[in-house]
Amino acid sequence: MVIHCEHLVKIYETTQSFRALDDVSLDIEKGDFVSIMGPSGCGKSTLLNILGLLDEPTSGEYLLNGVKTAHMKDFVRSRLRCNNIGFVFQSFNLMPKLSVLQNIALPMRYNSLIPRKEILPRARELLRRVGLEQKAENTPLQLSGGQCQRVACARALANRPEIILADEPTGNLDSKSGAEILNLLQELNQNGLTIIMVTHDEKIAAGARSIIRMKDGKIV
Amino acid sequence: MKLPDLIVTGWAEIISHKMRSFLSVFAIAIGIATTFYTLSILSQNYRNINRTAEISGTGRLDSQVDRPISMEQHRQLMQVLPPGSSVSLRTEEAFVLASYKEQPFSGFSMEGVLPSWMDSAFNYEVEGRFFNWQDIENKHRVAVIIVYPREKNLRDMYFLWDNHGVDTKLEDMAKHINLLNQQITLNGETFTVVGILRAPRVEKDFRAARDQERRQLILIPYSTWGEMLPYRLEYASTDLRIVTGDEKTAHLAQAELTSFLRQQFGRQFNPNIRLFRNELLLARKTAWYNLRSMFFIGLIAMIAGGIGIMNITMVIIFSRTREIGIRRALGATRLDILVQFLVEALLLGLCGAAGGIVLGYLAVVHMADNAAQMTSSWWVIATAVLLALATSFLFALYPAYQASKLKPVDALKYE
Repeated sequence: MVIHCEHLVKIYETTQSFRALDDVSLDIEKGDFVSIMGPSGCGKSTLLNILGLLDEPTSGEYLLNGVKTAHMKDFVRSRLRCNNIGFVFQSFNLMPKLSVLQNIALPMRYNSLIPRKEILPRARELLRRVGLEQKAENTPLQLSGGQCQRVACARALANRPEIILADEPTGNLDSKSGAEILNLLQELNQNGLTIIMVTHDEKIAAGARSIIRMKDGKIV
Repeated sequence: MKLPDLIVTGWAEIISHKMRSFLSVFAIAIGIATTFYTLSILSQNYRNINRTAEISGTGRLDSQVDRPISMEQHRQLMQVLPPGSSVSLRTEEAFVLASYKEQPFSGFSMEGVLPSWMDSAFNYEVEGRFFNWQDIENKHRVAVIIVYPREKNLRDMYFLWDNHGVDTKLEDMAKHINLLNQQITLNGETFTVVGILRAPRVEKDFRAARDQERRQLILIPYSTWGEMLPYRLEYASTDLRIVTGDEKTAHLAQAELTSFLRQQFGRQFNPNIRLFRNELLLARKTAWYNLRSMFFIGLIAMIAGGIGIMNITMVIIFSRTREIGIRRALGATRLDILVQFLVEALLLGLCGAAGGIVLGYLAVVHMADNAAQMTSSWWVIATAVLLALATSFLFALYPAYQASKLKPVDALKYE
């Protein structure tokens, strides 16, 4: 069991308190490809942020690889994000001033286990894997949306994580590029990675092995 | 993140906002320039004061009387002074007709001195010999010439009335012809040059400002001077310098000299006698006082620079909140973020230090009174760099801490 959640609750305290997640329990096995679907505001991104250790639940238990994540030190959470989790965002979130190659290298620079000399060769290898080796020195601004998302996927793989969390990875892409990204994710899944993908798009969601549907902070 | 990567990242950020970086570097540079200038001058002053004490000895007093002093009076004075003291008398004449092998030359003053002239603040290399007491006793026609090395930025030492463009200057002549053991004519009388005194380069001349003789001089025995220029005896003033063994005897000598001069020139005679030790103390005190006031100015400039750095870092963090979020998502720890912004600020500080040292150096070269003597000391540079780094570190600490405290999920949502 890679991910095990019990009774996750997330409450945002604004003018009135809002339950973004309401008693969510969830198990995801190693090697799964799960897509989470639901209308906007149903809490799927909140869930993904909690699974990615970017956010903490108000209450409930989240075990990553059998380890309780509540009360974990920020340092440990950062290390886990670095080594175990790869993120793919809807808006790519690449560094606009860095070259494509340096963008892919960035997570490895925060990983103390990778020797500095190996970073760029590994980044180049990842870039080759997503078929953009000729774009290595371009900046993300010079690439199309589909290419950017492929770079983002390569970056997510940099530290050889076991889980990929994709938050609407095809949301900003045309259907052709979207299909390419989905193919890429499926290929990664076949190689053993656990993938959790949030999406609006039924067609894209259908590419996953299983679909979780959410509404008003609950799994339905 | 490892240090080389941090530096590359920080540097890229500095380069991509040239104006913003320039302004904060400039603010730091002004503070550093002020500090560098202050410290350079103080360091040089102190070195000079200490070297002066070394060369001149502290048991020394100087006075000037507006009367001639005869060799007989010199003998009497020697008897009342503490044993072991030396008295140097010195008097000067600027209008002298001089020639060498029928070629007239000018551009010098002629001074009558005693062999005891060598006993304090003597910083020359002697070629040939200096005067001895036999020269004084027998009123020998011998002369010693001071020769200066060629200076990079020579200040004009000639007297206005010398410069008619026709005469040969002694200074130029002495550089081309070795006058040692040559005959020169001074006011119609023939003198043999028995010695050449080679002066140190001005930047190596550590004597106190008043002792730093940078004029072109021809020295002749004091007694010979009196005989050659009897008409001058009416108006001559005499520099007196007494060197005793130590400070205690200097005080004693001061009292003895006062009573001797009153005995010679009347009870109302009020000699101005300066103890060299007091002058050194005063010089030190002035140096410290100047340092203190200028250091505060430097400190204020540094604080202004620091606030500049702080302001910039705050702005940077607002404009880069999303970047912080991305870095956190990719695995950066809070410490990584903190260090990243600190390294960036330190790089700005380092640039500021470099700029400030250059500015300060230019200020020293063009503004300082004793610019030619300035030598850079490593500790002044090290202090300037450390101060710049400390300022940028301290003032960037709070903004960088704020940046590291951002929650990844909030930072990522920031537009």
